[in-house]
Amino acid sequence: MNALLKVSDLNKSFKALHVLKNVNMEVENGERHVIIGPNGAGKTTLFNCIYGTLTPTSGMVYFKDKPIHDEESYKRVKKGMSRTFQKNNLFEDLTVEENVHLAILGNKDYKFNPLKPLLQYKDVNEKKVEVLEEWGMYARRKWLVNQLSYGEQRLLEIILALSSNPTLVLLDEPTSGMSPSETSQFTNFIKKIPRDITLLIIEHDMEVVFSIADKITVLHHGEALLSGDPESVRGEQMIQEIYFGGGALSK
Amino acid sequence: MKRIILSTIGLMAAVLFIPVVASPYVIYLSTEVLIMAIFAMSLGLIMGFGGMPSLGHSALFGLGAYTVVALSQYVSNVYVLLGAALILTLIFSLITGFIAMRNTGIFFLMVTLAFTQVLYLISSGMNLWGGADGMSTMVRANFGFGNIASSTGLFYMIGVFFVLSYFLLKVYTSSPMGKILKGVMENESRMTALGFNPKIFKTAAYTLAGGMAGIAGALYIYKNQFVSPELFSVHTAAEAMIMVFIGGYGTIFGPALGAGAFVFIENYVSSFTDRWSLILGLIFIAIVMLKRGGIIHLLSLAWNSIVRMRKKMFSERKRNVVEVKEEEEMVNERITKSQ
Ligand SMILES: Nc1ncnc2c1ncn2[C@@H]1O[C@H](COP(=O)(O)OP(=O)(O)OP(=O)(O)O)[C@@H](O)[C@H]1O
Ligand SMILES: [Mg+2]
Repeated sequence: MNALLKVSDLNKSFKALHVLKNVNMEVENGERHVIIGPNGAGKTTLFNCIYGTLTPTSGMVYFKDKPIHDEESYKRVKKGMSRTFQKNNLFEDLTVEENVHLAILGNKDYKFNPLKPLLQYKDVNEKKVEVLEEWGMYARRKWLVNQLSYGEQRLLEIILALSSNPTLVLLDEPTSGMSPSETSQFTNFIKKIPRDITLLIIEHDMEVVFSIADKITVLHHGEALLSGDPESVRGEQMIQEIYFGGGALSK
Repeated sequence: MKRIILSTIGLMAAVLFIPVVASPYVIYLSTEVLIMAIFAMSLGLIMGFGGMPSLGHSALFGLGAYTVVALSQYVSNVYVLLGAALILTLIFSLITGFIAMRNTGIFFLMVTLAFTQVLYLISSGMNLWGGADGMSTMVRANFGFGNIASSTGLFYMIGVFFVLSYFLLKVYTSSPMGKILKGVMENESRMTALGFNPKIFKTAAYTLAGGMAGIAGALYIYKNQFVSPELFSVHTAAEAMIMVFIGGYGTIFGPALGAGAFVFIENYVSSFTDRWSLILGLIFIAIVMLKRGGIIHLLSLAWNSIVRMRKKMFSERKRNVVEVKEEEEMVNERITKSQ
């Protein structure tokens, strides 16, 4: 089988601002693929185009060998995609478990049922307990989102993304704003995610990047400069100069 | 589900009980309350659970009413009349909802207002159905066990629709469709990212609410036997919105309480002073200024403090570690979910 996700000649402009320039990229099944690049490189924009949050100006996105670039983003969840947001994007006035319920429902056909109370669906309850326990958030299930710490909210973002039984999860700077201990907890969790889930991650923290990545793509001024395994990327002279020398990756 | 059924039974008991103790005048007013309650609850669904403040809701109330009046010239069967009102308003709200759904907030309000205005102009401009003067009719409901002619009979008949509406809305808002609606209200773009097409869920709720408002309008004719373009006016729509707010925005039963308060204030206060709408206005302003809540919120506050007082008395007698813990948990729960 071909790559799970294939981005080919992708361009995205906001009026005169050409943000993505002929981006080509492949993500294999089961891979932990990390995208790095300085602020404003176009990483989030690339995610938005992959997920359908934005429509690319030109170019194609293939998921499971099918072109999906002009599909509404809500349809992609059913195909097996999910994502998190760089800035927490949660249901602040709902409880943690209500957030999770919605995320689980996203990929269920009975989301259109108007007559059966949601809590009577056994699989929703089971899945909720499973994901919340796995991420150590079960004790917080009755809390309102805006009562959680920032780091916990970051975790909830990830929990939501994992609740819809996805095959490909896009994580946009999951550790931004996390404390060092939360970050290392996060890294451990990521390593436990089964390999039938493919991860595409935007990450700034180089320690995290090199501890989880199978493959790294460098995005610079909207161009995918290079893609390769962590060691080859680390060794690349140009990358050394741009990123590790100047400290451009720190926020 | 258990809680829904229990609260529905409680409501049913209350409805059954009113005519036993109330004076004929109160029964008469209560009948109006029930009709307006169905209307306000349906608006409460799209406003408080769907984030769709509609000024077009009177269009559906009026359409239901006009359907009954217009058809009652030819048929008298209550099933046909109510069924026609329901179907017509469902179709109308499906179409207008679909169109209005492109907009949000103030623009949504304006589009729905426009629909109402169109119906107002049509109904007052055309010579059919009485034009601007309105038109009266003689309809009696007969569901197969005799004409419902007495005011108590009418009260019970409308009471059945009221309890049914309450039950339906309770189930709907606890179902996937309803939970998703709430999610869309809270954060629409996030819902899209989670796999939902927000338009579908909003339009569905809008349509359901429209059909319910249509039934309320149809029932109104069985009580008042008279229809006029006034039903389509912004005034009617705004009144329903006020009921939602003073009763309790974001709850199912709140708007029904709001309808009760509204109708009773309107009728009783107006016998003391012409300024009844001023008093209502002041209450409305107070509630809006105090943010949300409404009558149902005040009631639940009162209830909570009673529970807390009893709990205190009880725990002073026999206080141990376990209880303290329990109490703490309850407090926590109350903080997290203030409902
Ligand atoms: N919706 C938009 N409209 C206009 N310009 C945009 C939009 N979204 C992003 N941009 C611009 O595109 C460029 C790339 O933004 P993007 O958010 O993709 O960068 P990024 O690599 O994710 O950066 P960061 O590391 O800060 O998150 C920026 O110059 C940004 O201002
Ligand atoms: Mg970004």
